[in-house]
Amino acid sequence: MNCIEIKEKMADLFDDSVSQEIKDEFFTHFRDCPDCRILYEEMAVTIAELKPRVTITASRNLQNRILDQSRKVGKPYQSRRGRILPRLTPAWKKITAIAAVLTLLFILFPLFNHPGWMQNNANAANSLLGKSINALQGIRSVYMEFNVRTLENENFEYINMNAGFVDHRLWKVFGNPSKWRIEKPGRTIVMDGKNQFLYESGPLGFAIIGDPDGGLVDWMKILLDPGKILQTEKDFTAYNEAKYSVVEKGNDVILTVKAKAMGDFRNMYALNKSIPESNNRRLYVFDKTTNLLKSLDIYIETVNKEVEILQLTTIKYDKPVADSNFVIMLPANVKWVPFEKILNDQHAGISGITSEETAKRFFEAWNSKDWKTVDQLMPGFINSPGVEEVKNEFGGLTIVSIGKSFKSGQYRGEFVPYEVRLKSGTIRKMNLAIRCDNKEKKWWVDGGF
Amino acid sequence: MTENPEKFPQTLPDLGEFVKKNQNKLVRHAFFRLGNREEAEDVVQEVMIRMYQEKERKQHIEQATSYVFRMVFNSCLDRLRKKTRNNFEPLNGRETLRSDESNRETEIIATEEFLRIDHLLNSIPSEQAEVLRLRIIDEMSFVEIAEIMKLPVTTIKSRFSYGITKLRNKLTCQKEVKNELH
Repeated sequence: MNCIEIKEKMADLFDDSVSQEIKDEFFTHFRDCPDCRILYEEMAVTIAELKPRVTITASRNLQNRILDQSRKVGKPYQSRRGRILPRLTPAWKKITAIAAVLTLLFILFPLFNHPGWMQNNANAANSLLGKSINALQGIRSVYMEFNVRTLENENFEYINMNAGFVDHRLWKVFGNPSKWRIEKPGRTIVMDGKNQFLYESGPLGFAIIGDPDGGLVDWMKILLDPGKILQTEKDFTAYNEAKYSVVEKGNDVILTVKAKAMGDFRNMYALNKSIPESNNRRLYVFDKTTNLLKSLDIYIETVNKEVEILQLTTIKYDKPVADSNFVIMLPANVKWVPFEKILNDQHAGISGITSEETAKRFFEAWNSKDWKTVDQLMPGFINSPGVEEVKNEFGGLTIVSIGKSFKSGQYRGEFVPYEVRLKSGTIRKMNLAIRCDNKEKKWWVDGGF
Repeated sequence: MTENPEKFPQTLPDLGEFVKKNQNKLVRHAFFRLGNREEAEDVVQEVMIRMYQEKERKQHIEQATSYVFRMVFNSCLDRLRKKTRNNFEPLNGRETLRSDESNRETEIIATEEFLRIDHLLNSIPSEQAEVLRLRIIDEMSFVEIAEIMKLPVTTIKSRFSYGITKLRNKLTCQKEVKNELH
């Protein structure tokens, strides 16, 4: 290096990430060039002048103060999928029930009869299917433990690639009618043979009674009956772009499926928010001897990485299941509410305006503490167990901005970007999920608050 | 700070570890911005609590330490702007003293040190002072500074060199003046 280069790059000498080898080049130059050496020494002296001569450290109790405050604050926020109500509603049950079934079927097992399917794969999968169905014939119950990258209290279909794994458990007793239960921290759903019961224990929690096929879980329902699903799947594969392979390895039969994200992704917001809305790879392992499903792993594929989103860790067949599993005991301050009743309430929702105007009215209602309008736009709000806590935290908020609405993924409603400032000064910048897929075209807030 | 992905803590025990690991660095940064230890700790506390409140929405963050540092950095700037708007002196000598008498002397020395460094940095253009502050006081690498300031590393290095040169010239002039007076 000559003197000009040395002067230009002198800052490198004060960069810890620069290698000693490069720094040695400078020092070699300094041996023969007193001007550059003096410049370096003067810079070093100047830097030393700026170095604090006292050590500033945090007070001994700062950590405790932060932890104490954080403990009091608890968990007030929910992300956009933290819907007050489940996604499917009786008012639009016919459409959504069919859609839900289709969705279920597209998601996990869209592999059979696909045009691009190699014949040998087809034979292997058909054989596997037949054996798996037969294997399930005599099974009385199934119990599963699986982990999903998601958030506690969130809808069962919600996934989050950056979240930790949340434990899920599933019980199913086969019969006529069958009974089942799926639970994770903050959310439990039970089918007791007559109705579905969903309990969400968060601050805006709720307890809802739906009918037997109430659609209160989406894709996860497929895990309730692995053999039957494989059979049903054969009829629905034309809708999905999937590649798959079946290989035998030791005592395992491994079925790998690669499926494309489904939905409208001109806006990418909903990409990877649920398994159907993701490019994913599903890995099923069946026991070659018993032909029963042994494990399932689902991976989300992005441009430069693959993230495991679901892992089935335990599956047991014919494990005794107590009837008490099919009853949810509610806290004293929470009551079961029929889902129909909430949504047939004439006051729910507002028609004749846009989603953006709905969002504006919704936040204006929070600003003025107009709880009647909040409840109208977010049905069930008033009767939520933690309503006073939520009112206190969010009441009086001010609107900073409301953006242009957009659609994304498979969500039937629209997302409206918003930014609000809470009384505490906290800024919330999220997307409100609003839908009007009902007969009267009434908008109501489905999540994102 | 940028080598390995580091997620923001999602549980209180993890938050405790995170605070323990970063609190000194963050408080030091805030102190040499605001000149007041209590205020510096308030900023760090507010940022940590706010981050934890929003932890679910912060899960995508890959470099939690850098992110929190930037939050503290911005909060300090906000406070300074508010003080400027309110024509409020950034440093009030009495405010810097903690109620604990045994710490009084330490706090006075710290305050004097803040004033000395602040005076030096105020003598050069603010964008250069900013880089010197982050590199020398906060001991951040040029790459980390570039991330925080959203500027190319080359720009950061230039500002560093220009800043040091200007400061060196000022210090040299001061020495010459002092020598003449003596």
